[in-house]
Amino acid sequence: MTATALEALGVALIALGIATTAVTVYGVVRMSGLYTRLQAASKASMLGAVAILAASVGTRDGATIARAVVVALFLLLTTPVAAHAIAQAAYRRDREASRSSEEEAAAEADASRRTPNSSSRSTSRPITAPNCDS
Amino acid sequence: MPEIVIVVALVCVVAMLAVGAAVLLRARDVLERVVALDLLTVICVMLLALLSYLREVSYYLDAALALAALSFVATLAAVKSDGGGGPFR
Repeated sequence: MTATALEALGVALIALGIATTAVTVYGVVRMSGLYTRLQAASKASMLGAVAILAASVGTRDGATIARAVVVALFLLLTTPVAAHAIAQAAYRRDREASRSSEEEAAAEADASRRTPNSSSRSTSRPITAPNCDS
Repeated sequence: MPEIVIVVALVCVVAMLAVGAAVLLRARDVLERVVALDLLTVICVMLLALLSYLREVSYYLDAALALAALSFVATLAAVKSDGGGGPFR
């Protein structure tokens, strides 16, 4: 009786884990962009792996269940940390890229503003400089 | 557990492994590759767990734990190295 119930629970947990991981892989394939892919991959894959590891109750073997619990706890601890590190790196990279492009734009505007005063006779004025005739 | 269930689950997991490899090959960015590798590692852990249930050998789960630990450290090191610093900075 108990054995049958545990086996049924194990089969149900395996089915849940496979379904969740299939949804995860579909999301990673379908979504575009790093952040959306990251949230699909990190959350749902962890749930699928933990469900499959929890299906070890169906084997009714003490050593297997103990090791599965250890692996599941390790995954629960480390997957969010890894996802956070990836997201932080992506955020920093995007911020530095936007900041450097802003600095370039500011430098260009500065140069075009300064050009008519400093070198009014120069023939190599930038074409995009506004109001060069003054 | 009935063996047929575990065999069907193994087939599904191997198919998802192939799809994850395709995602890894199609990634255009270092961080996207890191995400795909992380996903592949979790799928490998599931594969080892199912193999352990099928053959009733619990030592496959030790390999799964080692794989998860290595993947965690490798992800952190790759992300730090992509950010321009070393792994200890």
